[in-house]
This record gives sequence, C-alpha cells and structure tokens, in this order.
Amino acid sequence: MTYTNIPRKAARVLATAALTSVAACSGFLEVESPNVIDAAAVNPITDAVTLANSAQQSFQSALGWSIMYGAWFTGEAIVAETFPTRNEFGRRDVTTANGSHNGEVWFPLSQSMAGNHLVAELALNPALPTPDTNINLVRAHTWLGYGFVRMAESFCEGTVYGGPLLNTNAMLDSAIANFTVAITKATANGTATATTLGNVSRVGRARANLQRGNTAAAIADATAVPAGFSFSFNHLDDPGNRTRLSNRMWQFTFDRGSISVPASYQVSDPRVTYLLPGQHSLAAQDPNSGPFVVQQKYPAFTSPIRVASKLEADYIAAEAQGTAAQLSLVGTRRTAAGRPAYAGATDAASVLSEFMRQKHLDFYLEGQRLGDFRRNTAAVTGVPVAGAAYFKPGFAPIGNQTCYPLPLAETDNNDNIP
Amino acid sequence: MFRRLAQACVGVVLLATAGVTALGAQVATGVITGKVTDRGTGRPLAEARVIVVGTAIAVFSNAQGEYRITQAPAGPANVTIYKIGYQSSTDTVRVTAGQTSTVNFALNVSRVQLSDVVVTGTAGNQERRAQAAVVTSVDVSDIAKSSPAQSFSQLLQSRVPSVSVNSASGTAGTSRRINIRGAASVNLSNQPLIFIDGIRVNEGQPGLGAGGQSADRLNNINPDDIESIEVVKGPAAATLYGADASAGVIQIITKSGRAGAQRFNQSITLEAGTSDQNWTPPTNYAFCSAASILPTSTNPLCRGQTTTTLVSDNPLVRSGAFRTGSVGNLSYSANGGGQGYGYFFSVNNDLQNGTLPNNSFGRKGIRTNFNFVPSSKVTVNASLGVQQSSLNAPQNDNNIYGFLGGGLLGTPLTRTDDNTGANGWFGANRQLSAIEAIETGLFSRGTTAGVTVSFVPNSWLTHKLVVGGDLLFDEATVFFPKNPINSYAGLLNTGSNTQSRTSSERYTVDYQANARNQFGADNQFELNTTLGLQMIQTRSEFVSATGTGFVVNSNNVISAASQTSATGQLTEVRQRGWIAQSQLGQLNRRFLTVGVRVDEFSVFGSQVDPAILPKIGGSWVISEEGFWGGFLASSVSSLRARAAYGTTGRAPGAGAALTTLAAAPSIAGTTNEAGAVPANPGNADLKPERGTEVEVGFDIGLFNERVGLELTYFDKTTNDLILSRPLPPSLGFTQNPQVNIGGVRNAGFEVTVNASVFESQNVALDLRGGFATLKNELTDLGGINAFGTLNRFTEGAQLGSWVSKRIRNIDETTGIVTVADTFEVAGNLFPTFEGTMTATLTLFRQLRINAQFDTKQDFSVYNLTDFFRETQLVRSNARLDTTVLARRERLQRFGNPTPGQPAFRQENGASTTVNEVRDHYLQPGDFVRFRELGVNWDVPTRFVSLLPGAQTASIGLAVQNVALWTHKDFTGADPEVISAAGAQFSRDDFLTQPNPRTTVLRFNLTF
Repeated sequence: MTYTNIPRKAARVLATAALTSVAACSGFLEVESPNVIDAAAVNPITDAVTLANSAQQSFQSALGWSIMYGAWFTGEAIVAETFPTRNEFGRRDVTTANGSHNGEVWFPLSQSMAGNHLVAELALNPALPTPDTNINLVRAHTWLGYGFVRMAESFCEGTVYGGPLLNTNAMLDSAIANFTVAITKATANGTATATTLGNVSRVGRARANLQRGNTAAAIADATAVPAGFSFSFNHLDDPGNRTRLSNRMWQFTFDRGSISVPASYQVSDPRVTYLLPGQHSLAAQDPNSGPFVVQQKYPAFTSPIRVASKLEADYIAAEAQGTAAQLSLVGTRRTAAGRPAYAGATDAASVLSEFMRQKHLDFYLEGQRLGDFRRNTAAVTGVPVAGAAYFKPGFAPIGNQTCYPLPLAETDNNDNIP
Repeated sequence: MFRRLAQACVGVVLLATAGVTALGAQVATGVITGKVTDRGTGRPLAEARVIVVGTAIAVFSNAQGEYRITQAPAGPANVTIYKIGYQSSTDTVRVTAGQTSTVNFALNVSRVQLSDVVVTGTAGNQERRAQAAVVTSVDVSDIAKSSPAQSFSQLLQSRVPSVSVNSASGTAGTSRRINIRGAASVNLSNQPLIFIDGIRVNEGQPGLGAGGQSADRLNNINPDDIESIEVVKGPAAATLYGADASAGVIQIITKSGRAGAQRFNQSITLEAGTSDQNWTPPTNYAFCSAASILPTSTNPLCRGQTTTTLVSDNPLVRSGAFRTGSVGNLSYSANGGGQGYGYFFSVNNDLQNGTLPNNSFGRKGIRTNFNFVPSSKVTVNASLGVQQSSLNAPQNDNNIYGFLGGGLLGTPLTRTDDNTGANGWFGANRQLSAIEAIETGLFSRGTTAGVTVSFVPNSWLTHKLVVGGDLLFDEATVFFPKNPINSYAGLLNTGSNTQSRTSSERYTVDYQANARNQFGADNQFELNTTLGLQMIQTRSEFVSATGTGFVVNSNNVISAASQTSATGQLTEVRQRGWIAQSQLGQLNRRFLTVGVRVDEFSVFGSQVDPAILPKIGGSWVISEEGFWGGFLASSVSSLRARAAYGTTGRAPGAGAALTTLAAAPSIAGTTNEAGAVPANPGNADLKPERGTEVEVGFDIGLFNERVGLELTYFDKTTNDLILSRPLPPSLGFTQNPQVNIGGVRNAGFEVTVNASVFESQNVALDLRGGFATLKNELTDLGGINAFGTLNRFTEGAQLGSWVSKRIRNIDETTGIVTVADTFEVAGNLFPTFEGTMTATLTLFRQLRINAQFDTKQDFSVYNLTDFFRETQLVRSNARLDTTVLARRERLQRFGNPTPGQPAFRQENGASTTVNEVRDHYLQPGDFVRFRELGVNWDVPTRFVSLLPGAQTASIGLAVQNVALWTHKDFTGADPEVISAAGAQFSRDDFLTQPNPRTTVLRFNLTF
C-alpha cells in the first residue's frame, strides 16, 4: 500500500457514495398524513357551515358536561361516582388542579367559545357573503352568548381566547353583546332557522340581564319571546361519538352509574321522574352512594335537552317583576304539575324560595340551578351545606364554594393572567 | 408505499450486486486449520471467531477448539482469533494453493474486553479497543444457562449499568420499561431503538384495554435465539444511528450457522416451572350498617352484630383468585455448516400461565439464519424470523372491572348468605366469575427478514449492505359477554366486542463502504474511512371496530351486533441519513475518530434543515505503550483511556408539525354530519431534539487480569427539547403544539467490575457487578411554567418529579395540619442509584451456582392503592380502626377530622384536600431484590455418552424474584410495578399485580 493509492481509493469511495446519493433521492421523504385535517385544506368561507355547525355541537357537548357537574355542585344530583375529582363537585370544594374540572367543564366550554369565535370572526373576512344576515354568524353569536352565560353562572372568574380575567359582570356583558348581534342578524335574515336562533338569543339575553341585575331589560327580552317557544338540542345514539353527540345525563346514568337523584327531588312530581332500586337493573358506580335512584327525565342517549323556552322566559320575567308575579307563576306551575296550590308563607323570601323550587322542578337537570344559586343563594334549597359531613365516608366535609375557580391549566399558561 | 423505498434503494442494491457479480475471476485457495486453547489451562476453546484479515472469511471453532478455513487465498495470510473473555491473537501463515496449513492459538484470559468485535454503533466491524464510547455486549448464551429469564427484557435486567429495566407488573406477558442513562425527553419516547441483525424492528408496547398494562413487542423474541446483545447507551456512541437515537440503541444479534465447521449439531431444551404470587392481598373492612345488623339481614358478617362492629372480608383470598402459574417451554435448534456455508434453525413453543385467571402468554417462533461464503471476497447472511404470540391479559390496574380492583375495593357490607350480588366484591354483580368472563387478548404475528451482503473486493475496501424489513400484524380483542345480571355497566351487559387490528411495516436499507489504508513507517498508521447511507421507513395502520348488543355470546362478530362503531389511523414516517466517519489509528493502540451523520426526516417541520450530527472521540491503550512496565504493569495489566463526544436526536411524531383540525361530527336533524374543531396550532419550525453527550472512561485490568474494571462518566444534554407548550384551554385547541424549547441533563458514573475471586482446578468463584448513578434534571423549560399535577416538570428537578403540598406542621392538639401553598417536589421518579452483583460459583467445572442481586435507590412510588383504600373508597382498617395508627400518623394521612374544619390548611390560610397532600402515599421505593438464583449442572460425559448421539447435557434449576427487601416506609407489595405502563412519567401502584416468584427446571441436550 502506498500513499499514491489513497486519492484513487478515495475517489472510488466517493463515487460509490455519489451514486448511492442519487439513487436515494426522488421524493422519499414525502408521506401522507390522513390522520389529521390539514388546516390549510379547509376554506373558512366555503366550509363556514361545517365550522359553524361544529362549533354549535361543541357548545352542545359542553352544555351536557356543564349541566351534570352543576347538578352535582348544587345538590340536583348526587355523585354516585368513585372519581375523587368528581366528588369534589359534590362537596363544593373544587380544587384548581382538579383534572375533571379542567377537562370536562372548562375545556369543553372554552373549545365551544373558541370555535364559535372563529366563525364569528368571519365577519371580518371581505369574502364572506351577506355578513349582515349570514346564518353562520347568527349561530356563532347565539352560542357565544350562551357560552358567556354558562361561564358567568359557573365560574367565579372567566377568560376567553387566552385573554385577561373577566369578572362576572364582564362575562354577562359579553353575553348580552353577542346575543344582541345574533338577534339583529337573525331578524335581518328572516328564515325559520334564524328566527328560532333569534328567540333562543332573546331568552339568553333575558337570562344574562337577570343575572346582571338588569331587570327591566330582562323583562323586555323575556316578554318578546313568543308563546309556546321552545328550543332543544337533539342527541344521537352513536356509540362511536357518545361523548360528543349523546345525552350526557343518560350516558353518565346508564354507562357509568354516576348520577343519582337525591332525596330532595324524590317528591313524586311528574316533572322529575325516576326509578327506585328494584325498579331498574342499573348499579351506581360507587356502592357507597346509597340507593341508586335513576333519573328518567332523559331515559335514552337520544333524549333532547331543552336550551331555551318561553317557560324559562316566563320565570325570568316573573322573578324580575317581583313577589306577586312569582307567586302567580308558582300557582300556574303547581297546577300544571297537578300539585295542590301553594299554601306557604307569602313574604318575599318564602315566595322566592318556592318560586325557585318550582323552577328547579320544571327545569330539572337543565342547568338552571347554579346561576339561580349564585343570584338567590338563600332561596335555593337542597344545596350541600357548607361544613356538613359529605354523604360518603372518608371524604372531607362540604366546602363553601358558590362558583368554580379557574383551573390551574388556564392560570398557569395564560400569559394575560398574572 | 414500499415501492418508493424500493425505487430509492435500487441504486444501492445495484451497487452491491455489481460488486458481487464482479467476483468473476477465481483465485487460487488453500486450507487453514488449527486449534484454539486457553493458554493457562490448555482447555480447548469453542466458539472462538477466526477471521482471515482483509477477506470476508470468518469461521468458528468447534467444541474441541478446532477450526477449518477452506477458501483462504493463496499467499501470506493474517489469521486473527476473537473470543469473549480472552485477548485476541493474530498469527501469520502462508497458504499454498490446494494444500492445508496449520496455525494453532493459545489465548490469554482477559477481564478487560479490548479485543471483542462490536458491530453496533460503529462504521464497519471494530475491535472494542478502537471505540471511543462504550458499547456494552451481553453474552446471552452464557447467561441463559442459569437464568430463568423468559423474555428479552428479563435477559437484559440488571446486566448492564445504566440500562434500567423495570417490570411494570407481575402479569405474564406484559411490558417492561427500559431506560438507558435516564430519560432525556418529556414528550417523545425514552425507549431505545431496537435492531435485530441490523434491521430496525417495530418496538413498542401496545395497550391492551385491560387496565394499565401493555403488551411488549420485545416479548415476542425467543431468548434462545439470541447470541448476544449490544447496547449503545447514548449520543456519544449512537451518532451513526441518527436523529432518533438519543434514547440509545439495542442490537440483538441472533445465533448463526458456522461456515466451514463441517458439522451438524442439534439442541433441544425443555423448561418447566411454576410461578407463585407470593403475596397476600390486604383485607377489606367496614363497620356494620344499621340495616346489615338486623335479624332479617342477609349479611352473614353483620347480622346480629352492632354498628360498631368492624367486619372484614378478603374476596380475593376467599374466592381463591390467585393460582399457581406455570412455565412450559420447548425449543429445538440445529446449526452447522460446510464448505462455504453455515446455517442455524430454531423452533420454539413457549407458554406461561400467570397467577391470575385469564392470564397466559404463548409464544411460537421459527428462525433460520443462513450464511453463504461464495468466495473469500463475499459473504451473504440471510435471516428470517417468524414469531407468533398470544397474550391473554387479566383486567387489572386502574380498572373497576379488574381482579384487584374488584377484590381490594369491595366492601364486607355486601356479603350475602347466598353469595349473590356484589358479595364483597366491587360492583353490583361483579364477582370473580364476572371478571373472569371478560376476554382481553392480543394475538400478534411478526416476520423479520434481512439480508446482509459483505463484499471485500480487495484488502482495503469493504462494502456492506443490509436490506430487510419487519412486518407486524396484531389482533386485539376486548369482549364483555352478554349477561342477565348486569355485571358490568350500561350496554356492556348486552355484550360488547372490540376488535382492533394493527399492521406495521418497517423497512431498513443500510449501506456502508469502508476503506482502510495503512501508511507510515512500518505501516504504523491506519486510516479507516466509512461512507454510508441508512434509510428507514415505517408505516402503521390501525383499525378498530366495536359491536355492542348480541343475541348470544357465541355469535359475537361485529356484524352481529345491534350497534357498531369504528375508528382508524394511518401514520407513515421516513428517515434518511448520510454517514461519514474517519478513524486514524496508530500502532493499534492510539485512535482518533471523527464522524458525522446528516439526517432528514419526514416529520420535521417544513422550515427545518437536515439535522447535522457530529461526533469525535479518542481511545488510547496506555498499557501497550513502551513505557508501561515494572510494578505498574504487574499490578495494572491493561489500561485504556477513552473519551467521546457525539450528538443524536429524537424525532417528533408523524404530523406533529402541521396546523390541524380534528374531525368532530355534529348533529343535523336526526343524523350526524362531518365536522371539525381546532386541534393543533402546529409548528413549521419543529425539529428533532438534539442530544449531546460527553463520555470519558477507563478500562482497567488488574492483578494479571483477575479483575476487570470499567469506569465511565457520562454527561448527556438534550437541547431543543420537544415540549408540548401548554396552551391555556381557553384557546380551544385540543392539542398543545410541540415546540423546541428547554433542556434536560442526564449525568452519572458507571462502574463495572468483573473479578475472578478464586480459581483452582475444581473451584472457581467469579463476581460480576456494577452500579450506575444518575442525575436527571430538567435544566430549562424554555420560559413555560412548570406543568403536571402529580408528576410535575419543574426546572431544577427530575423529569416528572412527584409533587405534593408538603406538610409543614402537625398540631396534634388542635388537629390542624398545615401544608405548603403550592406543589413542591416530594420525590424522584427515577432511581439515582442502581446496582447489581452476580456471584458465580463453579464446582468441578460442572456445577455452576449463580446468584444475582440488584438494587434501585432514591426514588418514590405513589401507593395509590392505599390512597384509595384509606381516603376514597375506605376499605382499610388503618382508616376505620382508630387504634391502628397513632394520632399524628392519622393526621398526616387523612388531615383534620374535626367537623367544619378543612382537612389541610395551607400556610396562606386556604384549605385543601388529601388529593393535593400526598406525603404519606409518596413512599420510598428503594429496594434490594434477590433477583435470580440458578444452579446448572453439566452432566458428565460418561453419563451423556449413554445416550446414543448425545454430545452434552445439562440440567438447571433457576428461581426468579427470590426475595425482596424494601424501605420501612413502603407499604405496597412491589415497588417496581407501574400501573400505567404506557405512561413514561408515572410510577403508581394502583391495583397492580406484584411480580411473582418463578421457578424453572431446565434440561438441555445437544446431539
């Protein structure tokens, strides 16, 4: 071997490598990714209907979670569940690190807000046709309004889109603003769908105004809702998309045995139907939960959930109008339910308490109680009592929360929250 | 899809083919024979590797130490002998065409392995002396004689310092976690890449739908097929494996035929054994309820008692849930060779039955390796392995349908006279038979095939091409039978069958051209240059369907169900890496190596350039220098210093760089329609994590090679750490984007000791051991906040450190327990010290007794089982019987019992719960385990010869998990178990089966 051989050898090795290089090129690194939707492949204008319906569905799914957790928090249902994180709701002692709280209450609501916000922002896109009457914008603002209402009623403080903290009034003001846009565009649109969404927004705005303390505005909106109006979310029995498309209350009654009707609602009222042990074959997930009483308001995965109605508007108007109107509606509702006339005290507090009671029977598991509890704390009965022992052994006593804290996942990662 | 890879590789194949066909001219050849012996004892040495330098020829010595090379080119030839545990030896012989030349070798024992040839992490075969970074070899054929190991991972357990193998549960056939030199990544896998004979295989641990346990692809490998294992620990050695190798590389080298051996050997091994759970599950307690004490009560425990009566029940023991498991393995192999060829063939049929009902793991396989030496310039090695495994897994872990869940969370209050209902188990009608009726299985078939062609056109140039693929097909089943008593939940009671199919294809093309040049005075310098290309393509497809609602359980195909749903995924990843390395050696004792790999990946962001991964290292065999002598040489017989620097990476997952939406249907009237929600904001700049490692060390032989020491310090830093930047949920994305921020450091010492304590004609005592330390630290989070609620990622702490709002003060008078305001680090997830020691006593050269101990220290385990039984579903007498624990201990565990008072009070006055104050349940996991005890007797020849044709026979008895010593504050059953085996940063024990004691009797016969 000599030094003179080295360049020739090196040349041969390099030539080999060069040939190999050429052979190994030609698009080898191009792959397909069918698992995901490349955002660039979606046209926000032509696909606006899909995006708007998806965002509406996100709110529908969030609403299901919100109703269930709110029911546990306010004593509308008991937690027949082993998850410590869910029992925190039953104990009104929700911690910021609670994974269920973040994953099943806060995130679904946030996702629906962000999705509807994305659609609402299409109004800024000059390519969007008829922005003043666009049904997708009507839909997005309607559910944005409801998203803010749910946030304001449930959370002590809120935030949207990674923004700063919002207090309750700010959230309610945002709800009112979005409902106003929805009503305006719905009126201009004039189609049946738009009209329905407009009335949903009127009920929603009345609810937000009531919570905000704007009684006159609440009454005005409530009375503008046409008689007999009712809007419900339909559900599907789709085993592949149970969490997104099915009735949450039945899912967590039937599949998991998590929701049990508390004694305070076992009052033989036709508005709250249930089955006692022996009348059904289901089991509570946690045998420590006592008798498993199965709610029958939503007896199937397909059971619809009422979102807005003239009945709710009537309750809003009556509450805003005062004791006499409340007493009148109490009478109407008891009669309608086949119950004897109200014979209790007629002072304002007593009437309001009975008024709330009737409302909560009428709207059992519809997500009304938490907002009512925050607005009329003393008048709402059956809420777990602070300091009392939890009904399951081994747990700490009931806490004194009246609303949920923002999860750690939000406060840790939102740069706009100090 | 494979077409593209095939097209791209055509050139590579053509190159090699051209080389092979260029053999044309035949050269005159002769025969070299000889014998290899131990210089000290004169014993013949079998399985010594004999090569003719500068050719492709390699043969092995037989049981008599004899070798025969039939195609040696005429002329002077350098013959080199390699044998593990001995110094290599080279001699020159003149080969005359058509004649036989003889050269014998007497090898010196060496405890310091400088002469071994390693094939992993190097460009071209290399002696260990030239390697700047450690590549550890495990001689499996030696271990297998006295180890009860039933899987590849068990073979690796406690054999190599810094290779941490953790058995996630005692369930037969489930996974083990392997971490090499700590965990370097938060979001990406910390499991090493696995190659079999140069072909990258589908590693991974698929979930089973049976709770927290996973299956393990590595379990499909028949340990009897493995010749050796090479472990590349970190970036310093793994650079040539590219941008996905920062967690290390494990190469499995299977047994092969013996070209030129002129022999045919067969081996049959029978194993039979048992496994014993060796654990009594804790008992459940409850105070009798008012209803249960009535005369009409059907509860036999409480009837007639008072409500202050504490009753107990242990449904797992009462029902005899645990059984004696079994092991039954049968393997047959044949190997041999003739002139210019060698072959190995094996077939195995193994079955383990676990200690719980429904648990079994069966494995069948065929492997054939064929090597062909058409001339002194070409060798062709072809291998084909076909494996089939069937795992039946019991429901367990974080699982209300599980055996341990049912047994440890049930209450005595549900006991009934007629044994109906819950009867002490958890769940309404979910007794042992109902849990047992759930079928969970994974049937897996895999094929690994590869061809390696080495072409040595002349003495200085070698081409090596490896082409192969690993094909995998899984069938998973989770079946809840229809039942009339509602044992399960919801529609599961109508019968539910989930069938999942996974197919995965992984192809490897690896080409290297290696040129050697000797120059300088007396050819004292050697320049060893390698150029190469490696391409790996992986395509995985997953389809799953669930059917719910059957008429009868026997007709449970999906199409027979009243409701069906399905899901599917497809991912594809391609990697291409260019390799260049040059090594300059002087006098075969001073080496300097520089190299680089340039990697491209389909998963990199669109804006990312190829990853350039350099390496540099040096090795110096000091003891072979002229100045080494006298007293120094007599006490330190060999000494090598080495230092290396290298970089590798870890590539993100498929599609991680894209901005995506997720399919999410919506309801239109009474049907669903397609929809989408924001999924991932994406990151066009996403690139691989970059692992950089500095490794320095010494290999030392002491006292005339009676003691071998290997000392290594490593310092590995991962930069461009891929983290899922946690977005505030209010942004509405379902996924957090992956970003390259932050860093992780892993550093530690590794010490290996290999000593011959005593050796005489009839008695020998060897000690082999080692330890490794680990400092794992998240050095930089790139500005994002600490995240994680139980296993938290905090700058300055270990990855995934346990956290708790730690107890500051316990006031036994008032009951007030004061805790920290925020989560604080409360324990390590990864042991900072792991050690092992194996003692081997050999008597009369026939009886070998092997004992292995290992330890892991300074880490914590979350005893979630106790947490649940004491604070959530209260079943433990430690909570219910107030006399069991002292008041202070009760306050620490459960908080303030005073009504109206918070359980725990933060220093800032806020209240918190036991869910955030876990001090007691984060328990020290430190343990010492008597891991293995093995006795092997090589039956004397005079007895073996009684069997016609028999050559050797051995009988062995081995016990695994002989004894366990844990920290006094650890209250669980086994600190090694991990309930969520698939989670990288978890070490919970939640209703997980501890590792059983396994005893195996082995009989081996060669003939």
